[in-house]
Amino acid sequence: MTEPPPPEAVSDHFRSVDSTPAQYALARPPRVVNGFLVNFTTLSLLGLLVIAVFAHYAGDDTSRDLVVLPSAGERAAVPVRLFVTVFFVVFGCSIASDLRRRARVCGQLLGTFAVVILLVDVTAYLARDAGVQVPVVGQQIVSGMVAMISFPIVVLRNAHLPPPVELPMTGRIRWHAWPRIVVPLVLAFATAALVERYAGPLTRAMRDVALLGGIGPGVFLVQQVLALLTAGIGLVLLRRSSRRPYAPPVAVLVPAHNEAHLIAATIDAVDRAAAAYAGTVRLYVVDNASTDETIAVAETAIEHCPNLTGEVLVCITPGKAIALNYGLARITEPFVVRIDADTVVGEGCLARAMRHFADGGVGAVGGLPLPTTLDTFFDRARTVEVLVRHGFFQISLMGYDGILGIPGMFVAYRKAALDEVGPIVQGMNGEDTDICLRMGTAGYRCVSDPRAVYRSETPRTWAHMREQRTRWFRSIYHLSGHHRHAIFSSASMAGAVVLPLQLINAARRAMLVPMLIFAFLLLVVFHAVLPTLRWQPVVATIVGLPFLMAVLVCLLLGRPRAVLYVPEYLVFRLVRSYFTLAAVLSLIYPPVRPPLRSD
Amino acid sequence: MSTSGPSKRGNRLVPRGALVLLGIVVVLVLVFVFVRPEWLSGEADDASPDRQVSTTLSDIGMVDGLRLSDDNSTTQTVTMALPVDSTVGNPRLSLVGTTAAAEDSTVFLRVLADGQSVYVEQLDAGQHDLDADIPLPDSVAEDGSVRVQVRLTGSLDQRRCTITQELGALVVLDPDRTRVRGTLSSPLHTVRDVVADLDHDVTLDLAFPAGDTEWFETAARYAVALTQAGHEVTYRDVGNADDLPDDQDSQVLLGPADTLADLGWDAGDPSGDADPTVQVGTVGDLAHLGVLEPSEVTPTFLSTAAVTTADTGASSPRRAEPERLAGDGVTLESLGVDTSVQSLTDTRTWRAAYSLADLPDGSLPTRLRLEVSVPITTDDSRWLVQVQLNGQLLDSVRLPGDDAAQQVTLDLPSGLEALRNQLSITLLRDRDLGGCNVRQTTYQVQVLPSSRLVLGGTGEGFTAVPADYAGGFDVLLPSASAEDPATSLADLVPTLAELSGWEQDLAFGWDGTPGQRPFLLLGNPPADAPVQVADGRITAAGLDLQSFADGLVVQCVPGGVAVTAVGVPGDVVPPYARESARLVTGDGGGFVVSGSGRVVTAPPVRADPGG
Repeated sequence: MTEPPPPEAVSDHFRSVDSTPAQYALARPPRVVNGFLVNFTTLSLLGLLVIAVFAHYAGDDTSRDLVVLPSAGERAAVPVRLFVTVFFVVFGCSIASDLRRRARVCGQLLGTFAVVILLVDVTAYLARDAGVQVPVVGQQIVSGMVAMISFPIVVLRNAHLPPPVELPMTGRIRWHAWPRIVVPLVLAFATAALVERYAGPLTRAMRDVALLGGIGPGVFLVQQVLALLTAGIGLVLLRRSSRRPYAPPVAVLVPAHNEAHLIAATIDAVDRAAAAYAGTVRLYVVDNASTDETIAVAETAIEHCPNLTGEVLVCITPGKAIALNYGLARITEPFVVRIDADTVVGEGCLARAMRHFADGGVGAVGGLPLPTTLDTFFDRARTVEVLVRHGFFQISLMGYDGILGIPGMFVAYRKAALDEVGPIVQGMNGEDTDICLRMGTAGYRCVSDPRAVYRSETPRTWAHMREQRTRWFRSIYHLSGHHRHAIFSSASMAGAVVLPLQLINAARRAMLVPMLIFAFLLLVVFHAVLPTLRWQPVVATIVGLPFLMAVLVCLLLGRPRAVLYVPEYLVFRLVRSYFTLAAVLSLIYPPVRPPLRSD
Repeated sequence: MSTSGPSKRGNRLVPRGALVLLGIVVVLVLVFVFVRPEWLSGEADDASPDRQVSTTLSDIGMVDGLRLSDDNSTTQTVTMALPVDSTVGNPRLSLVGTTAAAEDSTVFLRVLADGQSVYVEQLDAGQHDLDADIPLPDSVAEDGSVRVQVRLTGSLDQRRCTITQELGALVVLDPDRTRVRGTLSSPLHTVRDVVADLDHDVTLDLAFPAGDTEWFETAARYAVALTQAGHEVTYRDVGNADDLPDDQDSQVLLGPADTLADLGWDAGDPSGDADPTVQVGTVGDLAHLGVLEPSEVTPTFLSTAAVTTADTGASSPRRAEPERLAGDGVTLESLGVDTSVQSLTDTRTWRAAYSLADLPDGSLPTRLRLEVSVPITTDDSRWLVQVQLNGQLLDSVRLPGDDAAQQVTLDLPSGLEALRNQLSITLLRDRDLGGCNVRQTTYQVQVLPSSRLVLGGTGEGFTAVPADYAGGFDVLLPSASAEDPATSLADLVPTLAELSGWEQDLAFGWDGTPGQRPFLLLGNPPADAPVQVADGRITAAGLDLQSFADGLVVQCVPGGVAVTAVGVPGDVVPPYARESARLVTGDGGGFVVSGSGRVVTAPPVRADPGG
């Protein structure tokens, strides 16, 4: 008797109502972001041409950037302000909205930037007048960094985002979380300064081969040293958190939408993990408006599981959050592990994750989501990304209680905490991070344990990757809108520090590809106008420290083979930048109502 | 059909409108690139080409650029000529090159223009590009030249104390991009400004009729004067050309006015003499000098201080005889030694370069009479003078410490001299004490203007030729030389300029045989010459070689010097010295032929087999 062939995935199985939540996102075609980049190139060429002609006619005293009251004879290496201006103009014109909203976005971005430029330049002028030399590049860096901060603020002010969550902020940042970030930060600055001072030849040699430096503003080594130090603290906390055995009864909740091709493997893996787990495990598969054979396949698979009990629930209203809430309402166990239907948990995953709940302050626990295979470019790049992001930076965030969210692919929740801050939000992206943020404001902590390894499907196609990453990167804006009261609040470190930094990081990432286009134009077409820009900083923007950190993390985590995939990861970072830009353009910017006529 | 439009648009990866706009802007940029490339040059340029003046290091002969380091010199001075009748506005100095400084050094790059400090910048440790654009005071351009001094100062930090004066730095200035530039109030229009604007590389456009010996002699005299002044001269026969290139600097046109006009040289409306000998005209936007009549005077006029009187667009000099050096000695000051008061910490060197051909009667210096003014020394220190001639240390002399004005006389031994010589005088302050506790003091010292070389020696081989030529000599040429003046001048001028004195009267003889006067013969060597060139072979008593394709045979023959050109000889002049014959290859190499007609060659240095 032959086994029936496994069901095939339905076409575009990855698309669901969560791909573009109707209230807060638009499904914009790829030509929008492509058009953005082409228009950016066009306007950059024009702007640089104007600078070249101006420099030709106005003499040598021009700074070759939008600098008011420049220092005589000083030139910019890169016209940062022109770049920011062009980026803002093209962004304002590329959002999906009416003319008034576009004008308002452009006005707010450029107006803020103009004020910043004026303030910085006048201050520099007065400083020079007082005998303090301020290099023009310093003026550019300051204004560029402020622009990077103002960009997400203007987006948050103009986009239609989820309303603020109504939840009392009962939690407080633990007092010792502050020294756990401040001390490493001071040490990071000191280390960076010492390296710059005493390892000059080495750093210069590395800059010459594009392993250090870059064309964007940044503080050399500080971010990396800070991450390493806090990761050390995080590792200690992680070991302490998991030292006691703990195996309470647990429910496993699997929302599934058209997952007939994967659900059986997912259930089998949960069964194997249940075998290694000392407590009881009950599986809840919530079918969510599937049009394939998900229910039948899941029921059959559960019947064949010797180590768990389970059932298939049917939620006919589409939406992952709806399905999750539907399932959560029926769960009675004190802990619930949520896994995606395309996730294959490791055998020790449940046992490893649940030990952290011995500490009553832990609200959620995550693991290390490695790709299922290493067949494709996306698989290999994702492997390094996971090691860097989940294997290293999550530990670093844990070092000062700063974990923003645990991916919903595999996350264990304390049911009481869920009940306290729930339900899982519907109709926006980033519901998994949202629940963690809410737990944080209620005083619970999140833990990420890279030893809890599980395998998750990586997109096989560009379309799938685009859908996934646009959704992920859009979520930072949805979350920021939803948790705007948590930003800079004292309720949680994630809200006070990490969320604002993530917003700025999202702005930086969205600017990366345009920045490289701009640098390319400077190097190839306008090199004579701004001859001090070399190729090394441009290449270092792509390679540089990200390369070194990726290699270091792969080795520290005991996965030397992953070093081979680092070049693909570096290319993938550009892809991520592209999708970050696509994400911010897919937000809804509501039309501005015309003023009422008084006739 | 109505739905196909939006569907197609939706499937496009890039909006067509965005691509069209990009295409338009790319075309616009390409137009700039090809039609107005200077607009993308990154340089301020608010004047048309005829209103710009720019002098690079290459233009003044420093084709390898300029290097500042402990190994060469930490101070270099260059003088760049500028126009005076067309006022130079917004003068700027561009320093372009590379810098390298040691990790623990504190080194400053300082620039002075006519003695005024215009730039001080600390060099960053490591290797970096240098691109400084320095505004100069307007006053530096008023006297027709700007003297730019580039200096490295500072110290190599030894942590506890500095016991070395080395800087550990290297600055290399690019010869083509390091320059003084400015805008002109009006295009160059006077003879003296156009002469001052001549670059290191000068092209003589020969537009006179082939075979005209008068014109040939004028061109040769002017080319010799330019060569002796340090220019690299090339010759172009434009007699049969349709027009002249309109984008080339530093051309001097020689030929009748109407011929030059046919070639596109526009004389404009000359003021002054209605029939000038030399006149400024334009080819395209650029001003070029035209020598309109053959003359013995014109080359001297154009290459001496007499040209400073030519403050109009044309001139007709009739007589301009330069005063020649005479007597039994020459002052070091006349040889270019800086006799002003100088600062010295430990050591300072003065250099004098001279050619025997320029010394009175072509005599060899036999003694150096050096007079220096130095501070009186303390008991623990003393002043030393070291003298080198052509790289050979002649002597080290200790100065007595009880007098401020000191005199040293040194014999210059014969045998070390060459046609061109380099004399260097180093003054050292030698101390008993050293190390970190010794205060470094700067002293004021001076080589006095009365310092001189005493003449009276006689040379041998080529070094004897200047003395032979001192009373006058004939330049003997076959008349066929005048038929191809560009080639003949290239064959003749480098050697003639080397062997003749500055502004020495040159008498040309055509198709004649050597007479009583010494001569320089261009052509086949006389029968009694030690080296013969015939039938594609070069022969002498000890050699019989197939002739090189391009080169010169230069040899002393009874009564003069014979120069035999083969192919297209180069213009690199070898270091002529006491030898009597030399085979010069196209690159300036070759070998000396000994008095016995053999190849002079040094035996190889044999390495120790043991390692």
